[in-house]
Amino acid sequence: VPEGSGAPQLRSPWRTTHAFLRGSIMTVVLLLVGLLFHQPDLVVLATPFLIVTTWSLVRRPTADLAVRYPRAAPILREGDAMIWAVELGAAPFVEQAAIQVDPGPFQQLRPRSGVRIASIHADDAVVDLSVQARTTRWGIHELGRSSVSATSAWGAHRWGPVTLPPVQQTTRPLPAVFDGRAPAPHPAGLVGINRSARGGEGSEFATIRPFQLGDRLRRVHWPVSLRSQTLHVATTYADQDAEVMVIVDSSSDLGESAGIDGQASSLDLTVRAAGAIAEHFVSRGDRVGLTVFGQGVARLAPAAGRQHLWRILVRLAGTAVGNSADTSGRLLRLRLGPDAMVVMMSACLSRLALDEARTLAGRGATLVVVDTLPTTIGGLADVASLAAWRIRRLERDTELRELRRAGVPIVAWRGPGSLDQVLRDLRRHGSSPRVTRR
Amino acid sequence: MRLPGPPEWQSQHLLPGIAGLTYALTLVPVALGGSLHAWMVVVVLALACSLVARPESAYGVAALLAGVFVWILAGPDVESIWTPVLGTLLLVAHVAMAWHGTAPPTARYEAAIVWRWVARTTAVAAATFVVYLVSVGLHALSIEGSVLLVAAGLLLFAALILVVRSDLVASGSPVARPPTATPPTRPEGARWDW
Repeated sequence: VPEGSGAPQLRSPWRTTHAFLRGSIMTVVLLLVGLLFHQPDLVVLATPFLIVTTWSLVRRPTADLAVRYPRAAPILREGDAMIWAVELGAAPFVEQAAIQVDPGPFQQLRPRSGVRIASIHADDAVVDLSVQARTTRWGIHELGRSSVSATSAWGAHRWGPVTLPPVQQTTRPLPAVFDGRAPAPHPAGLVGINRSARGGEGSEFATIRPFQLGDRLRRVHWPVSLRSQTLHVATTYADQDAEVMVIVDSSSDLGESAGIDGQASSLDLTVRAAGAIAEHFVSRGDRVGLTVFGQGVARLAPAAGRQHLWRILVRLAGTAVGNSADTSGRLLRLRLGPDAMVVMMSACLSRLALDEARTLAGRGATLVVVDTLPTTIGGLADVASLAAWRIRRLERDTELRELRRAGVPIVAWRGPGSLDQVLRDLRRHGSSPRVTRR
Repeated sequence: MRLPGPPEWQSQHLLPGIAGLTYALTLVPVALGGSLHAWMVVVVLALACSLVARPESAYGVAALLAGVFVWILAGPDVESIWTPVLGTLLLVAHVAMAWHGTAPPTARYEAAIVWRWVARTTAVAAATFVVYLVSVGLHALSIEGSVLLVAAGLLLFAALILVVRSDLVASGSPVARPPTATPPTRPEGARWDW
């Protein structure tokens, strides 16, 4: 339930409706004609309209109504639902209230029509007009563009409809399923679960050696010490954390997105994969940063912890498709440590992304490009579009081959284990001397 | 006692359909109570279609008045039993149009709302039959100015109700209490199976 309710500022007068005018006109005309021409049947015909009109006048509401509505929407995950809580303060003689919420893109409402009708009884103080809303795609959406109205007996008088202002609702991406057993190539920090090449305080066994001055007593390995008659201690490798920068290429969005329940576009796949990789490394205690480029460059400095993961996902929710020439060359200013790993999530369709990847690799960064182009692209119906897409795919394959030749590892996004082999290779290469262009 | 009924009821095309159908059915009492002409059928059916297309508009009052005009031109007996039947049909058409105007067309109504409208319409239709019987009774007694008496009686009754209502509101009736601004507490939990 979103917190923060709107003050009762929405005002509307009570207006008579077509129904009331129709009943009044029928009453007056039929009674007058019946009396003037001595037609008792017309007086009988006037009777129901006279009763309805009198009833409507007796039950005519006058009090202004107060609407309480949310002024802010909570941050949700894709597929989550919330209550769009709207309440109407009841007043005497108000019998029915209605709300109509227009569903925005990637929103599902319950009731499906977005219309909810509530019957108001004499002892009701507040009328609940809440509608359930579910968001099906990451992004910043507009929610709650709705109108509220109330009517009196026989629909004779109407209050509203008043339009409620919409609010911005942020939906963070639901990270794709991802897991990896390979450690980060160059862990350098002091905390984390990556095994260091050096010995130190950690959890992974290294060797057993004779006791030295300064060793902790709890590290003494008693079975070996008893056998050898000299004190021996078990040593471990130090645990270290890595610095990972996730780069998201939002310069293009290919295919049609049907939200969390349907087909994913290339940007859907990119954003969800970026969320998954960030979540994976954060859960291992690594420091993860985020750079989104396309329409501009948005940057989030590397940090660790669940709160930081939340920030990354919210920042990913604000990803917009765009291709700005100003972003060229700005990716190089990542301000990362020498042992940081860069994971670029891209559909590899933009020349800018490929050029930046080539430059980063040339400058010695540990870079992995994750290809997030979906296997099937929707929305290509006609023969010309399909032919054009095939030509573009061939060009893209050539560009990726060139990039691989330049020393940039490229892996296709396949969920769990996508990065395992390439990370092991990078770790192996990292332990050997390298030549870089400075 | 809770009346049985559907849990939800969608009005999208049903209420305008009911309005058009009941209006078209006014041809039945006109034919049985007087003499029906072809042009009357054409006019009534055309107006019924207009009610279906635009139920909550100025067409409504034009259609109802035209229905009464057709009744007068058909020349029925002033004591015809078909008079309250026609009145009921016109009432149902009017109520269906009014009801349709209370909410967006895609609204789904709860059973309580449906029964409220149905019960009230039935009560008004029953009152129409009572007034018809009183009118016929007065006419049978050959009382001078029976039409005036019935009309005056109805108007007096309506005026009395209005006066009583104004007195109740002015004296702070328990019904007319001010609205409470505090919303009730809502149960926690915002997850559903979609």
